[in-house]
Amino acid sequence: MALITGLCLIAVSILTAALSRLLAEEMSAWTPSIIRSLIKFAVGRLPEHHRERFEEEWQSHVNDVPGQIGKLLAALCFLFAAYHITLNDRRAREREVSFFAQLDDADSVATTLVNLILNNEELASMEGIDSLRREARSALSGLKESFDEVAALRSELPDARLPLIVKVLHPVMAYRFAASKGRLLLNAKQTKEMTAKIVTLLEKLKRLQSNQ
Amino acid sequence: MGTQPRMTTQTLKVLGALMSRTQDEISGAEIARSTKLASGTLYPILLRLEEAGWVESRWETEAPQELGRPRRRFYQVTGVGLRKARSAFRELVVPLKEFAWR
Repeated sequence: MALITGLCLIAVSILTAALSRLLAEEMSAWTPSIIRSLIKFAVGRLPEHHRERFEEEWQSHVNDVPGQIGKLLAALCFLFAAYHITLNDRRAREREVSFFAQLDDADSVATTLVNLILNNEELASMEGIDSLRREARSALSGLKESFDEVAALRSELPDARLPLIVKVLHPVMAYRFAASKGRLLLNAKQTKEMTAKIVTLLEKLKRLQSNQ
Repeated sequence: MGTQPRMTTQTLKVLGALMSRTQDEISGAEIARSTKLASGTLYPILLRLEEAGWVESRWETEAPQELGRPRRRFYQVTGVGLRKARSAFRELVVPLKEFAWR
């Protein structure tokens, strides 16, 4: 009985050794394609403008990691990286949208306030109101011009950034895109400054009213 | 240029690794090795630092066909990044020193 058990144990251990070797070989044969698939999957979760860059970068990162298990772990971690990059990108876009929404609000509030200064008959008799109204009129027309330019530039620009391939193949387009984006930011800043100017005018009006 | 990046321990580790080699560029895999950060944590940080203008990156100049492997992307801290990182480290060191003297 003991002999049979011993023989069985020997057979099982030989079989296990052969199987584990086979499994290891299978694993090492499959790992590169698993890694490629994981990177492809992670890259597919990224915002479009980051995909090309990270596909190559992550492939090269995995190449530099020693050992199959290390490579596999690094590739798995790219899923987390993709999740965080996408999340950060979405947050940045939301911040941008909220900035322009604030600008829209500021424009409508500023217009209402300036119209109040220009059309309020009770203010007509106030000393210094004529120069204040002139300033208000010019501030409002400046604000309108600036705001219209912001709106035009925003409609020209695509929401996402230009992909790297477009930047390389169409440098002129990339330059125009960057210039438009720069002008947009400058105009947005100017619009904010104009709104601040109108707020200053209102403060002046308040001072005039308290002096009367 | 985007908003200022959050100064987490991991961000400081990445900045430390980049600042230790200001003269030459360093790839993502090398940064991961020296900071012991997982790739899932490292790349979002690098991207945030790059968008803030603290770090710049470029591809390896040789073509992948010549190299026989995908190109590496090299990172280097910018002048602005260096200044901001130094001030962040200073801000961190002062309270630590105060704590140590107590």
